[in-house]
Amino acid sequence: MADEILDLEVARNKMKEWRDEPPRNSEEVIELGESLIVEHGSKLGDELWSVYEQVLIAALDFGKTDLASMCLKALSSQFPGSLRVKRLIAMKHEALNQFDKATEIYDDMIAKEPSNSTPYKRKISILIGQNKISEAVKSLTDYLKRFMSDHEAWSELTDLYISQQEFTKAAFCMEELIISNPHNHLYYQKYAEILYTMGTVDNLEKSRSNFAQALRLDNNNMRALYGFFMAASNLANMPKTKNKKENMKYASWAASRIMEKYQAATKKDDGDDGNISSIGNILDSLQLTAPSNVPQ
Amino acid sequence: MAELLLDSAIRVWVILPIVIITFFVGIIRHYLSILLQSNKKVELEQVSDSQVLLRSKLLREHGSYIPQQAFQMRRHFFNDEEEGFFKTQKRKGAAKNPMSDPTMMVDMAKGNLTNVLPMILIGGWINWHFSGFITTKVPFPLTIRFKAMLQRGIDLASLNASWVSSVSWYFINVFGLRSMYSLVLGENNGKDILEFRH
Repeated sequence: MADEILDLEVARNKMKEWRDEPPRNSEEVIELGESLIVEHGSKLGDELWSVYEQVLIAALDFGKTDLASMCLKALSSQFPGSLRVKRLIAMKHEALNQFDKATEIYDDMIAKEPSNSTPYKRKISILIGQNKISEAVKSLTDYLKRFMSDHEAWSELTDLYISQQEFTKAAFCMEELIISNPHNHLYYQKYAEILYTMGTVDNLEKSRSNFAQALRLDNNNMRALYGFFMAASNLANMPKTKNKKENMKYASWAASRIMEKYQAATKKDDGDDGNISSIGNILDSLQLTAPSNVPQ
Repeated sequence: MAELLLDSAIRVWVILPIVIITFFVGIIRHYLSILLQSNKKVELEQVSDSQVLLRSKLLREHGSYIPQQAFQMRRHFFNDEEEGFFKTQKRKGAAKNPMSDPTMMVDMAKGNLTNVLPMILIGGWINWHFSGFITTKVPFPLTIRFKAMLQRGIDLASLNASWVSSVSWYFINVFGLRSMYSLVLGENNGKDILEFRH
């Protein structure tokens, strides 16, 4: 008996943790959640319904329609007419590729409660799922006009613009994300990468300084370090750049930092020095070949 | 002064009933308030207004982290003299008078209905039904000032201040059972259910 109670508590806490945290480990959720509902359903009290919802979404991820239907049945008999359950019904339609039906339900939800952001987002995700990117971009920008500080949406829009190669607009969205959380080094890194891809002298300079900011916030960000090196060496090789010497200095500093990092890493693994010399070669070739790719 | 001895029937017919009544009234009140709770309809305009304000606040706070030109662009969007967002969008005065908004009035009435009214009613009933009983004694001496607090409904000058009257016992229960409710009803029980309802 004591064993069973412990088991229930552990499972319950685990499910709660997964509910609150971003990683979407649907497989484990299905496994644990299903047995939790079957064995201890009556002991969960009101938490049971949250577990049902969680398992339902996980089941949709894995295409387990029977399990999803079971959860949905339980939820809709408990909460008839609930908008939240309605959303889940629509999500099931989505999983079954019945996008028209799902869209219909979301439209209905929007009409009933226009201030709820979820159905708008689901509709956009349907468009993305159907690969109608330009329409998705349009409705996402409409959505952002109304819900301006939804940073999840800004981030999604960034990715959409990048996939459409509209880098200026993507950069704008990244700026928005940086404003939302200026302590996240990954935002700076991504912003700098977008600017680097656009590739004029002006943008490269901005890109270099943003890579530097990302590095300042996280010393171990290798990608930003490489980016910093690339941006600086590109700038150094461009004819229009004003302070070439400084950029040379930056680039060689970054190169030496990269070498150091690899040296430290190989020392830990007791690897041979062959790797390091090849990295040195790679860095040299990057420095030589990179500028030719960039329009000057 | 001679030691007072209480009839054990007082324990069975006064102290315990008061505890049980207050406890169950509290439980009923909890579910009643859930039942009466109205879904607050939030206007789309309100939501987007607050989001715009939040975005402009973030821009003010963290504007130095993005390039100069990007900052100016956003400032222009929000605050340009002719076409800025805050200049073109005119909103009515935000501060509403609660008396003029009927939904606010209803909410306030509901709050009174579930909180104040039962307390007055049950308190009055207990005062009437169990009046004049001494129910229990606090196990330490108290000064004469506490008589007004602990012996409501009994005006005996000679009675020791440690004795507690029935009405005071009711009030002690009303305020003391709060942690019992959270134990029985759960910390924020019912909250999740409510989210499902709307």
